[in-house]
Amino acid sequence: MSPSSPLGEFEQVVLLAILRQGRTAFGLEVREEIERCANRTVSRGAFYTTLDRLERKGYLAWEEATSNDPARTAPLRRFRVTPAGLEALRASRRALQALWRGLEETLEDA
Amino acid sequence: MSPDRVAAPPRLGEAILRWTLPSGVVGESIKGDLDEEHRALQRSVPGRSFRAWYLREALKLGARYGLLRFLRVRAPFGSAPEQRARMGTGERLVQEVGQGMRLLWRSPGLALFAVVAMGLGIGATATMFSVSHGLLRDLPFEDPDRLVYVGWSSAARGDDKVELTASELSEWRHTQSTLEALAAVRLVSMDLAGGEGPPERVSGAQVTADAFETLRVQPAMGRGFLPEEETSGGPDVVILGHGLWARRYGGDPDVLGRTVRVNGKDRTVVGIMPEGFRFPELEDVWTPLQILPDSAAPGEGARPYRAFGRLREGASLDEARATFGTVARRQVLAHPEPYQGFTPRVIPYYEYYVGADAVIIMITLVVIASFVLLIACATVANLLLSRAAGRTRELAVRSALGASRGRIMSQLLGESLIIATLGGVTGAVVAWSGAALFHRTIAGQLPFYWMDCRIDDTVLAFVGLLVLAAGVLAGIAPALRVSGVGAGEALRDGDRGSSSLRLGRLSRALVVSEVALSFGLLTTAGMMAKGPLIYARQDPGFESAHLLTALVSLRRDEYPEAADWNRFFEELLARLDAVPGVQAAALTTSIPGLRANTSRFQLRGATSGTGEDLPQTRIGFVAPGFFRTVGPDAVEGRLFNEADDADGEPVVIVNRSFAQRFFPGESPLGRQIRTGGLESEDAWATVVGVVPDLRMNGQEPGRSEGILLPLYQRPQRSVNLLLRVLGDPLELAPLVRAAVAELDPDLPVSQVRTLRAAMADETRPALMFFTLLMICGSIALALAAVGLFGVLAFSVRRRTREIGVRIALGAEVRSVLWGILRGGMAQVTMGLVAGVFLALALSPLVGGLFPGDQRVDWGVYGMVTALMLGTGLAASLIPATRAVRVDPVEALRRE
Repeated sequence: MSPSSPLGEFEQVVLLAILRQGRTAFGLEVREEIERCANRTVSRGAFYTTLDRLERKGYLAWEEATSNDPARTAPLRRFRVTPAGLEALRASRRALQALWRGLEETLEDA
Repeated sequence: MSPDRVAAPPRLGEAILRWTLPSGVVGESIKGDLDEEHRALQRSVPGRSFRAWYLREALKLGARYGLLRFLRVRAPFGSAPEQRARMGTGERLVQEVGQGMRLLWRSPGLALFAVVAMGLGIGATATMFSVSHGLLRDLPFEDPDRLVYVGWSSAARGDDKVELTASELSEWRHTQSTLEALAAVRLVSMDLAGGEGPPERVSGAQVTADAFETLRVQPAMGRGFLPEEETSGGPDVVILGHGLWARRYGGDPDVLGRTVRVNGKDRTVVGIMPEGFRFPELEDVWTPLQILPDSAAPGEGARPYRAFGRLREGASLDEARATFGTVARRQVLAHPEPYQGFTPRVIPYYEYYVGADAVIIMITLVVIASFVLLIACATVANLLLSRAAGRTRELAVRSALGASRGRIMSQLLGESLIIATLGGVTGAVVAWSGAALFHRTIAGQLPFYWMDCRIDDTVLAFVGLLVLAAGVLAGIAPALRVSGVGAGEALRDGDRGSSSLRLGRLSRALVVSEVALSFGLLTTAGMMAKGPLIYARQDPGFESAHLLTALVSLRRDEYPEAADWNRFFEELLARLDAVPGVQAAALTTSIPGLRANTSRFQLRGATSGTGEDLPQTRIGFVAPGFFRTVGPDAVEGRLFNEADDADGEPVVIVNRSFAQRFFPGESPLGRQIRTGGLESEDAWATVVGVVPDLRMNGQEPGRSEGILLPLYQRPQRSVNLLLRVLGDPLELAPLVRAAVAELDPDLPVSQVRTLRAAMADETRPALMFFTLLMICGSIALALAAVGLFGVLAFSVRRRTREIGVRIALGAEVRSVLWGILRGGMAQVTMGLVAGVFLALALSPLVGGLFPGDQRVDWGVYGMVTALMLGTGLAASLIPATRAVRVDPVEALRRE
C-alpha cells in the first residue's frame, strides 16, 4: 500500500501511544495509555481493528511475547511502529504544524 | 479473594470470541487482553464475577469482527493477500454469493429481467417435464413391474397388439405356469338404467374374477367377483366405480345389494371400487367376464380379450416368454395357416399401456420447451456480458493485482448461478400452475387414468438440475470472455475498457441463435394451428348455429335385425319432428363439420388391381330429412326422398370434391359406386345428386371427398340425431331424451351437445398444443428482441464518440441511422436463415402429433418472418434514434 496513504486521527493516536509505551507496547497497555493520555474511552473493537488496519498499511508490526505475569498465559503482541509508520506520523505532523502556524493566538488555551 | 482465585470467563463469551476473532496469535492475544482486564476487574471489586461484563465485551468484539469479516468481502482485493490465501473453499463461496447478490442489487432492472427470463425458461421446461412425468409415471398398482401383458404380434397385420380369441384365452389360462394367473379384460359399453336417473351410457369392462387380485386392488366396499360368477348361468352381478357411485347413486352405501339394469339385464351391485381406480382405461362399471366358447376355427374369429397377469414369485419375464412361447408354438404348428406371421408377445404391462409413441411425444415437448430455456440462457448471458464489458477495466485491475483467472471466472459464474436459482424458484411456481392447468384440461380424456401432473420430488430435482445447467450456460461465456482479456490490453484501452473485449461477435451470435430458435418455435406453432384455426373461422358451407346433436346406439340383444333398427329410427324421427321448437330433425351417421368415417370404394367400369389401391372416401348414412335440416341444396341432380327406402333402387349422393376428383370434367349422375373392397357384397348404387362438401373431413386439411347413402337402404345401429331448433338448442335436450324414453326407457342418449360445441371439441387438443407452442415462441421472441436491443444499445453507447465525430464532420443523419439499423437487421436475417433450417427439422416432428397436412407452408413461414423482421426493426429503432441524437460536442468532450 502506498506510503502516501494519510493517517486518520485515531490511527495517529494509536501509533503515538505505541511509541510512548516503547518496550511494553502490548495491546492492553497501549489501550490504557490512550485512555490515560487522551482522556477518552476506547472501544475494544475499534482499537484492535485499527491495529489490524495499520498493520496492513505497513505502519506497524508486531512480535509475539510472553508476559512476566504468570497469570497471563495467553500470548501477547508487542507492537512497534515501522519506519513507514514513523514517516507517516512525521508527514501528518508537518501538515498539522503548517496548518497551526499563525493560529496560536486564536487557539491558545485560555 | 486472592488473585489466583478469580472466576474464569463465561464459556459463552469465550465461544463467541473463538468464532469471530482471527485465528492464531492475533486472536489469542486479543482474547488474552480481555481476560486480563476481566481478572483485573475482579481483583478491584472482590466478590463480583463480572460475567455479564465479559459477555457484553465479547459480543461487542465479536460483532465488530464478524461484520468486518463480512465487509471484507466487499473489497476482496484490498485485504491482505496472505489472509485471502488462507481462505477455504467454503468461505470463498459465501464470499462469491454475497458479492454477486450485491452486484445484482445494484442493477435491479437487469436482475429482475434476468430472473424473469430464467423463470419463464425453467418454468416452461419444468411444466413440460412434470406433464410428461405425470403421464409416464408407474402404473398405480403394487409392484407394477411384475405385471405383464400377453398377446400376439402379427407381422402380416403390422399390429403388435393382437389380443386373444376365446379359445386361446381358455387354453392359456390353464396351461401357463409362470404367472399367478392369466386374467383378462374386455372393453364394452354399458347402458345403465334404473329409477335413480335417466338411462346413461358409460364405459365399462368385463373382467375375469382374478383380475382385481392380479392388480392387487380390493374393492373399497363390498367384494370382488367370484369364480362362479364367471360361468354363464352364474349370478348376475356388477361392481361400480367410485366416481359413478358418487355421481349417480349419491355415494349411498346402501346401493350394495341393490339391482341395477346394465345393458338391459338386472344385476346386483356387489362392490364399489376405490376412488381413482378406472382400470383398464377410463371405466366406470365392471361385470364378470364370461369366456364364451365360440364356434370359430382355431386362430380365427373375434379377438376381444386383453390378457394380463402377474409374474409368480421368483419367475422372470424371460421365463414367462419361454412358457408362452412353447404354448403358442404348439398352436401355430397345429394351425399354420391362420397363425401365419403370429408371434406370442409377453411384455411389461406398462410398455403395452404407455407405448413408445407417448414417450416420443413427451420427449419432443420437453425438448421444445427447453429451447425456450436455451434462449433465456442466451439472453441472460448477453446481459451479463454487456455489463461485464463495462467492468473490463476493473477486472483487469484486479487481475493485475494478482487475482487469478479462476477467481474472476468464479465470481461471474456465481452471479449467473444466483440469477438461475432465483429463476428456478420463479420457474417452480410457473410449473406448478402450468401443470395444474394441464391436469385440469386433460385429465379424464386420456386413457392413462392414473396420470397426475404435479410438482413432486422428481420434478423439483429436475428443476435443480436445470438451475445448475442454466447458471453455468449463461455464465460460462461471459466468464471465459471477460477473464480472458489481457490486463495490459484492457488498461491501455482508451474507450472505457470495452472494445478490447470483442464483445460484439459473441453477443451477436447469441442474438442470431435466439432469433433462430424463436423462428423455429413460432413456425411450428403456426403450422400446427393453421388447420384448427382455419377450421374454426371458415364458413362450413351450412348454418352451424341452432343445431343440436345426440347419439343413440341400439343394443344388439334387443334390436337384433336391421329391420328393427329402421323401424325404431323411423318412429323416433317422427316423434322428434313433433317436438315443439324443432324446425327439422335428421338422422345421420356423420355429423357435418365433424370428421366422418372413411371407406374404400369401387367405381363401376374402373379397373383396380389388388384392392389395396382402391380409393377411399368419407362416408355417411342419412335419412331423408338430413338435407332439410342441414340446409344445402343439390348442386346437381336431386336429394334423397321418401322413395329411397329399403325397397327402392340403391342410390348415392356425392359431394362436390368427390365429383371433381373422381369425375373430372363430366357429370357423375348415373355412374355407379360400390362401397367396400374388391370382395364387397354391397349393392352398386347409382349417383343421383351432387351436394356441397359439408366438411366431412372435419378439421383435417384435404381429403374432403365424401358420399352419402340413404340410411334406410343401409341400416345402422348407431345413429346421430341432428335437430335444427329455434332458440338455445340445449333447452331442447330434455325433450329429446323424453322422446327416446317413450320408445325405450332403458336406452341412453349420449353426447348431447350443440354442433358448435362438437366442432370446438374437435379442435381442442390441437389448439391446446398450439397455445403451449405459441407461449413458448412468444417468450422466445420477446427475449430475442430484448437481446437485440441490448446489443445495439450497448454498441451505440460504445461508439458515441465515433458517431459524434462523424456527425461533427457532417455525416448525414440518415446514414448514421441506417448504420445502426443495418447492424440489427443483419443479425435478424442471419437468425432467420438458421431458423428456417431449424423449423424444417422441427415441423415434421411436431406435425406428426396430429393428423393433417405436414407439408411446409411457406405462408406461415412468411408471416413469422414478417413478424420477426418487424420486431427486430422495433428493437433496433430506439438505439438507432439515440445514436442520431448524439450531441457531437458532448461526445467529443467525453474521456
